[in-house]
Order: sequence, then C-alpha cells, then structure tokens
Amino acid sequence: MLRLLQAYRRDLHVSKAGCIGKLPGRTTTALKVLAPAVGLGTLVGLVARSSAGAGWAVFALLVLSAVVVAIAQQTLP
Amino acid sequence: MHRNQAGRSWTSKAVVYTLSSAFAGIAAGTALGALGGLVPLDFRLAVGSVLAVVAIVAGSFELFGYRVPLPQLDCETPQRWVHKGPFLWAIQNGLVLGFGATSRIGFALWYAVPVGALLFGSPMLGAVAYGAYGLVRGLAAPAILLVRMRSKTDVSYWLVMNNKRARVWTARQLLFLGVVTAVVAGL
Repeated sequence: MLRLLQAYRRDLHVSKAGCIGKLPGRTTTALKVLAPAVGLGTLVGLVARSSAGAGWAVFALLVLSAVVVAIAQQTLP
Repeated sequence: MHRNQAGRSWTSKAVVYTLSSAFAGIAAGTALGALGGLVPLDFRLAVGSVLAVVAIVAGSFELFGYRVPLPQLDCETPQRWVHKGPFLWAIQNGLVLGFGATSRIGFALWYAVPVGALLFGSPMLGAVAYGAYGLVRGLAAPAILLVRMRSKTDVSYWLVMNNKRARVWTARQLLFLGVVTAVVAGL
C-alpha cells in the first residue's frame, strides 16, 4: 500500500511533505525574493553605469559571490 | 600528550589548512586572470553579457525550486592522504577545497568565481576574487570546530539543515550579479 502511494506521488511529481495546494505558495515566495533582487540589481547597475566605477561594482559583487558560495558550500551534506 | 600541546597542534594544522586553501584560490585566480588577459576586451565583454543572461535564467530557475544540472568532477579526497601525516593531509585537503573545481559543487553561483576571474582578465583581480573563495572555504572548517568546542553544539549538522536556505541565498546572489552585470554591460 505504501509503495503504491509512493508510486502515485512520483507520477504526480508531488513531494512527500508538499502537496499540489502548496505550489502557488512556493511560487509567490520565489517571486517575493526574485522581484527585489531584480529591482535592486537594476538600480545598482544603473547607478554603477552612470558613474566611473561600473567595473568595480561588478568586481565587488563577484567577491561577495565568492564569499557567499564558500559559506554555502559548507551546507552540503 | 599535554592538553596545551594538543591544542597548539590542532591550531597549527588549522592554520596550514586555511593558508593552503587560500593559496589554491589565489593561484587559480592569478592563472585564470592571466589567461583572460590574453583574450581581447571586446570578446570578454560579449561573453560576459551572454553569461549575465545565463546567470539571470539559472538564478531564477533555482529560486523557483528547479535544480540546474551542474557539470562537475565531484571527486572525494583520497583516503590514502590520511596516512601521509596530519600536516601533509591538511595541505592537500586545503589545496583541493580552495581550488574547488575537483570537489563537489553544490551551487550554480560557484561558476561565477572562476568565470569572473577569467573575464576580468587581470591576475590581481582574479587572485582577490578566487582567493576570497579559498580563504573563506578554508576558514570555515576551523570556525566550525571552534564553535563546536566552545558551545558543545554540532554546527555542521545545523549547516546541513540550512542547505535549502543557502540554495535561496546563492540563487538570489547569482540573479543579482547577473542583473547588475547585464545592466552595466548595456543589455
């Protein structure tokens, strides 16, 4: 019975913890994260572009990315 | 062994490990920056613009919960290194983790580090960017051990439990980096 239920879930592409009803919530959360990142990124990009330090702004973000991903790599099981 | 001696031994190994990791990042960044310097600036800008769009798409996919397949070697450090002695083991492990390309890559944001070092086309800038990765990667292990010793809590377990949160943070950072690069490049 459990195996049947697992197969049924697999076919529906629904996780054990989640259900179909939760998917819109996940999308909304992703949009809440996506929108500020795009907005702030555009703003920072425009400010950097109008000033002389456009390359330095991208470089500073690259260094920040290196630090973020180095910390994130520690969360791998 | 005396307690203080054991502590000193642990500290020196941690320092060696961290320095090796930072050195690997600096060396890789210097090499990539020098290599990128051989490529004309216009070409690097064009490639950077295309990759900025790729970063936006990949970051958005990750934010919506889709796992972007990451090309990687995913090699475990050989067990035989343990028998080479603690210092040599610390050096080799530090070098491999600081370089990062041969070990497991869990996040699409990682690729921004070597690609960015290459596209900036400067050995110094490449060394700073990739070196920051190596240094923080190397510092993390002794930091985890220190916290574990001081607070008697398993930080590594807590870190693994926060993998999903790290996925969101790295995806957001990748998206942000992509957007800023795209705007600066004039897309």
